Amino acid sequence: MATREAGKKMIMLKSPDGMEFEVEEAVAMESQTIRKMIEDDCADTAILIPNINSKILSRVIEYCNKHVPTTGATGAAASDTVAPAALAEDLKIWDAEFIKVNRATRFNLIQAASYLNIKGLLDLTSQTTIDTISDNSLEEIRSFLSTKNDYLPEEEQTIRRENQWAFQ
Amino acid sequence: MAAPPPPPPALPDDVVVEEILLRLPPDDPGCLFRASLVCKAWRNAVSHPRFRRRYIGLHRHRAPPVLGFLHDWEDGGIPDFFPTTASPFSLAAPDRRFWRPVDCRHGRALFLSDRRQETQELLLWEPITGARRGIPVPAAFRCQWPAAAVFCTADWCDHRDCAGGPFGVVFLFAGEQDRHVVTSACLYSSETGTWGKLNSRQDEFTMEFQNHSSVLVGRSLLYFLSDGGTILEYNLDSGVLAVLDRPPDDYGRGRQRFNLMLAEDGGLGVAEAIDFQLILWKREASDGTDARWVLSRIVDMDSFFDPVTLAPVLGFAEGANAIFVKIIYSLFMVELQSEQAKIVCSSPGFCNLIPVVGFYTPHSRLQVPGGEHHSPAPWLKQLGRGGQQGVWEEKSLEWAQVLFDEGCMAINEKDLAYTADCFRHVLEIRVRHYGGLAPECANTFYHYGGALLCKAREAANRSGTNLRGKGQTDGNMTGDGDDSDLDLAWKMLNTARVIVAKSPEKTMEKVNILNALAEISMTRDKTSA
Repeated sequence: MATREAGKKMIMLKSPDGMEFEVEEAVAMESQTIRKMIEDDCADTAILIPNINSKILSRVIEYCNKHVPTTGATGAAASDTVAPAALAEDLKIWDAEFIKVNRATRFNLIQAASYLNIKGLLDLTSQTTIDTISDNSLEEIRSFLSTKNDYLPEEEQTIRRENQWAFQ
Repeated sequence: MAAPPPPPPALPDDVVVEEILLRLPPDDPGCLFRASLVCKAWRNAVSHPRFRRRYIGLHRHRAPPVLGFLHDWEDGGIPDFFPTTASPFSLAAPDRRFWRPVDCRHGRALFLSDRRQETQELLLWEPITGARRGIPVPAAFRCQWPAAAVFCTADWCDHRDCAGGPFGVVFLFAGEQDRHVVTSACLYSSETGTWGKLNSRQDEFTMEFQNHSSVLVGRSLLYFLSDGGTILEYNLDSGVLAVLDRPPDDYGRGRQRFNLMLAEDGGLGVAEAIDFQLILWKREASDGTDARWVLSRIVDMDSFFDPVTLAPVLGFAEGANAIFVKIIYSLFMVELQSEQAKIVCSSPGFCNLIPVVGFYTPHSRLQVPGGEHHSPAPWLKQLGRGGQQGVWEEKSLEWAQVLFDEGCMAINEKDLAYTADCFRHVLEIRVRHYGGLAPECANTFYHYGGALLCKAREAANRSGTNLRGKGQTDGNMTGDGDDSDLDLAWKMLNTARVIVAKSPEKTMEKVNILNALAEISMTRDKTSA
C-alpha cells in the first residue's frame, strides 16, 4: 500500500512468497523497471515482484537503499557534508562487502538486477564473475558454473583444430 | 494491486549468463570467443544479434578497441591478422599471399589481389562476420601501386556496428593520359554495384601508394598519403582531387616516414616520429579559406622507453586514436588519449600496417573457419551478373543447401535460435544469387519466417502470456528480441506471399504462407491482450 510518512512517498513491494517490503519511492526507483511502472501510474498500490524471493528481494532493497542518490533532505548522509570522493570510496567498500555471498545468491542477484533493471547492481554482481571467465580454462569455467560441455567430441576436435590460439 | 510486471524468463541461467558475458572486456575479445566454446547455449547467447547490440550498447562510453592489424610483411611465420590484444586472439583474414591489405574502416577491410595477377580485384572482408565480397577494380586502372579506402555510407551511422550495411570504396591510382602523368580517383557504391565517374588531375610525378595510409575526415573528405609523402584530398561529394602541402620541417624530417591521423578535433592530422618524440600536427582552417598546419601536441616517448630513436609511424587506428610506431626491432602501439604505450610485436618488419578496430562478438557457429587459403581465381568467375555485383566468397549455393539442411535438423532438435540463424544465412546467399523477389527464394523466405515465428512463440510461452506488458518498453530489458522476431517473421512471410502470388500453380505454398501470417496475427493479439 502506498502511504506517506514524513513527506516521503512509500511503495509496497511484494515477493511471491508473500513478504511485503515498504520502501521509499526514491529507493524503489533505483529499479528502472519499477520507475517505469510508477511513471506510468501502474504502481498506485503495491507491486508484486514475481520470481524474486523475499531473501533476494531484501538484499536488492538493501543495495538500493545504500545507492539511492543522497542529495537533499531525503538522503541518509547529506552529500554537502561528505566529499563525493569519500562517498564513492565508502560505497565501494560497502559493495565489496555486499557481494561476499555464495554463488547461487550471486546468480539470483544477477537475475533480479536484470529483471528489475538496476544497472549498478547488475554491473557489480556480473563483474565479480568475470574474473573466473576471463582467466580460467574452459574446463575450469565449466566446473565453476556447473555448465555441461554439450559439444560432441568431433565438434570439439574441429573447434580446437581451427582455433588453436584459443587453447594456448 | 497494480498489474504485475511480466515474470522473468523461466530460464534464469540464460539471463545470468548473458548478463555476465556482456561484461567481458571488449579489448580482450579472446575471452568472449572462449566463452562461446563453453557450451552450445553460451555460443548461441554470444552469437545472437541481440547480444551484439547489447554488448556495444553497454560499452558505448568507450572507444572501440584495436583488435590487431593486417599487414603485408613477408615473414610467413607471422599470421595474416596480428592480434594486439591481451590474451590470444585470431581472425580468419584473407591469405596475404593472394590479398594485400589496403585499408580497414567501419568494420570492413579492403584487400587488393596480387599485382602479378592478370586482372586485379578488390576483396571486401568483414573481420567480425567473416563475410567476403569481391569488387572489380575500375576499368581504367592499369597495374600500378594504387590506394583504396573503404567506408560506411549509411546516414546517421555511428560506425560501431555497421558491417553488412551500404559502403563506398575510393580507388586512387596514377596513370598516363595524353603523355601527361595523371592521378585519378573513382568512387564505388555498394548500393549500385558500380564505379562512378573518374576524376583526374595532372601531376608532375607518378604517385605510388605501396605504403599508403588514408583517413576519413567527417563524412566527405578522404585523405591519402603517397609513398613520396604527398597528401591528397578527395572530396566524396564533389569528386575534386587536390594536393595538400606537408607540415613544416620545424622538427627535422630526414628519412622518417610520417603518417596521416585524425587530430583531436576530428580534423586531419599528421604524426611524425622524430628522435624520441611523436610530433602531432593538425590542419587548421584560418579565415575559412587557407588551411595550414599547426603543431597540436608533442608526445615524449622516452618516458616509456630508454631513449632510442623512433622509426617510422606505421599506422593510425581510426576510431581508437592509437598510433603504431616502430622502435628498432619492436612495434609499439601508443594510445594517444592516455599516452600509454605497449609492445605488440618484436619483429623487425611490417611495411604496410592496417589496424583493425571494432567490437568483437562471435558471429555464429557458421563463421568461416581459420586457416583457409583462398586464391582469387575460383571466385573471380563467380562475379555477379554483368560483373557489377560482387559475390560473397564462401556463400555458394551448395553451402546454402548444407545450411538449409542443418536448419531443418535444428528444428527437430528444437534449437530455434540456430534454425533461424541458418535460414537467415541461406536467405542471404540465395537473395544475393537469384535476387530478392526471385521464385527460387520464396521457400527460404517462408522457412525463415516460420522459424522466427516459432522462436517468438517459444519465447512468449517461456515468459508467460504477457510478452510486453505496460511499462515494459525499455530496450534494455531482456526479451527485447522477441517482438522484433515477430515483426521480421511477418516481413519474411509477406515477401514469400508476394513472390508466390505471381505463380498461379503454387496453391499449397500460398495456403501455408497465409496460414503462418494468420498465426503471427494471432500471436500478436495474444501478446498485446
